[in-house]
Formats: sequence, structure tokens, C-alpha cells
Amino acid sequence: VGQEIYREIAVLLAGVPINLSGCNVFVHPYIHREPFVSSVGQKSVPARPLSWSPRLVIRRYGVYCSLALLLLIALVVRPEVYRPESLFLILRSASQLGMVALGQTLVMLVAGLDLSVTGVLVLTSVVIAQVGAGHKQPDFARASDLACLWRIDRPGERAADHQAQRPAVCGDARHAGAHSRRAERLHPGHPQRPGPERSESAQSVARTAAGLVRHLDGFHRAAGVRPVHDAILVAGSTPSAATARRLGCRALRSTAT
Amino acid sequence: VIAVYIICSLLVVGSGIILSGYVGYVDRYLGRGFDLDSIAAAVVGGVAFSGGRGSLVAAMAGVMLVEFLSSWLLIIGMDVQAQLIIKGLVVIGAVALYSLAERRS
Repeated sequence: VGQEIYREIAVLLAGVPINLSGCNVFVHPYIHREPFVSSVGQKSVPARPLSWSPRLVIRRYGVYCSLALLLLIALVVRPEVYRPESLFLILRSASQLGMVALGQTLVMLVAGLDLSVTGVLVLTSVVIAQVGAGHKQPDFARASDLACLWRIDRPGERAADHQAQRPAVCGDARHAGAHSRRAERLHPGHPQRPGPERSESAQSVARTAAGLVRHLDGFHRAAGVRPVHDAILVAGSTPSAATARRLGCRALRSTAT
Repeated sequence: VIAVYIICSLLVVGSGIILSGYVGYVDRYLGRGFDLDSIAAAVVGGVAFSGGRGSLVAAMAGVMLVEFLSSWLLIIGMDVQAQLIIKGLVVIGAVALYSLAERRS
């Protein structure tokens, strides 16, 4: 039983059977079989010789090879992504996807798919945000207020200017209607420079959007590249040409987060 | 099976906490694409849709691949649509490669 458990753990962790017991007490022919078949209750089968057929190589090391290939291509094409702060940013954002993919892998190993990942993630985030805000009354308008356009980083502007810059609140295509009307009411005619009579909601939008701009700004600065977009559309909806003109942007691009 | 789903949800909860703390704002579109990205990472890592094959370390390598790819696509300034297309192409290529490797034996 101990050997079975060790083997399952080893196969689960590495995909390659390892003799975790540290000595040869538990060595068993089954250990050298191809992973991954759950074998509880099966009879052990004789070992297959380890071969280096291309099939085995692709199945076991294809990911690593393509990852190395991608890194090499990036090294050739755009070497500035290898600056350490850029790498750390990528790693940090990979950690979230990594945890999700860990669970997803477990689910897929039992031939399932977990499509509730997004919902659980958003629910957790919202609950955590409300707990962190001190059990205040939930402000659901605040979340959808974030579907705002935000000007970012025209070439030549200093990064410090963005923190002082006012948010450019306007509705986008998907959230047309109440929010755009509300934004218009809040900042009539001057989407980039809301007046001093901003409401609580507009201030919250300003705070969150300023945080987002700082985040993206750091990303661009760490990556050592000029940002290619004049505006980032939060929530990834499609910007319309009219909003672009109203904001005075040359081009609009949208991004996921 | 239920335990596996529960473990997955717990991991996602941890991920959501990290994500909300990292981004600093909350939005109902926050986790958009996380499910498909995680499936893509697992598939690129060699986990079969039919189950029973794959490993966690390879899935982590798949995560790194997907994450590097998407962030670099963002850096070089591609549209979201183009990023989605390229991710889909990567997943298709991975599945094709794995199934070819299966059949060749």
C-alpha cells in the first residue's frame, strides 16, 4: 500500500515515476511503466523498456521544448522582456493562472471540465473586496462603473502625470445606456476633466482607474516598451470610433484586465 | 470526483484572493477567460481531454507558456481578438501534436 501511495504521488507530481522511497526497498516492475493509469486494484504488469521514440519525447517533453523555443524566439525578437522586473511581473500574473490550472488539471485528469472557474474567481474577489472594505453595504454600481475608458500614456508624457490625471469616464458599447448617460451627467462635455462637483461614485471610479493606470504603467515601464495604445478599455469591450474621437485618442485598443 | 472539483474550487478561491489583491479592483469581468486559459494551459501541458493522462508539472510549464505568450502578445501590441486567435491556434497545435504522437506509435 505504501508503494502504491508513493507511486501515485510521484506520478502526479512529475508525470514520471520516481522511486520516492529513497532506497530500493519498494522497487517494483510496475514503477517503470508508462504513466498515467490509476492502478489501484489492478494487477501489476511487466515493465516496458524505456525507449526514446519521438512519440514519447513529444508526450513527455513537448511542453518544455516549446517553452524553450518560445523563450528563444523572444530572446531574439525582443530581448528587453528579459529584464528582471518584467519577468517578475509575468511570473506574478502567471501565479494566478497557475493555481487555476492546477485545479483544472486535476479535474481534467478525471475526465471532467470545470467551467465554473470564472464564477468562483469573481465571487471570491468580490467577497474579499467587501470584507476588506469593512463590511460596508455592497456597492454594485461601483463594479460596473469600472467599465470606463481610461486614457493612458501618450508618448512624451511623464508617468507621474497619470496619477494626477483625471479619469476619462464614458460608457462603451457594451455598457451603453445607464452608465454612459450617468457619466455624461457627471462630466458633461469634458470627459477627461471632471469638475470639482464629482459624486462619490465618480471618485471611486477615479481611485480604481488611477490604480489600474499605475498598474499598467508599471507594466509598460518594466517591459521597457512604449505603450502602443492611447487608451485601455477596461473590461475588454469593443470601443467605438465615436468614443475614441470624444477622448481625442488616435487609436483604441482593448485588453482583458 | 467531487473531491477533485472541490480541490479545484479551493485553488480557484486562493487564486481569486491573490488576483483581487494584486489588481486592486474588483469587477465582474475580472476572471474573464481564466477558465479557457486554464484549460488551454492544461491541454498544452499534455493533459488529455478524455482524462487519465498528464502531469501537474507539465501543466505548470503549459501555464508559463500561455502566460508568456499572452503577455508578450500584449507587449507587442496585438488586439485582444488576435491574442485569442493565437491562443486558440496554440491549443489546436498542441492537441494535434499530441494526437499525432499517439497515432504514430
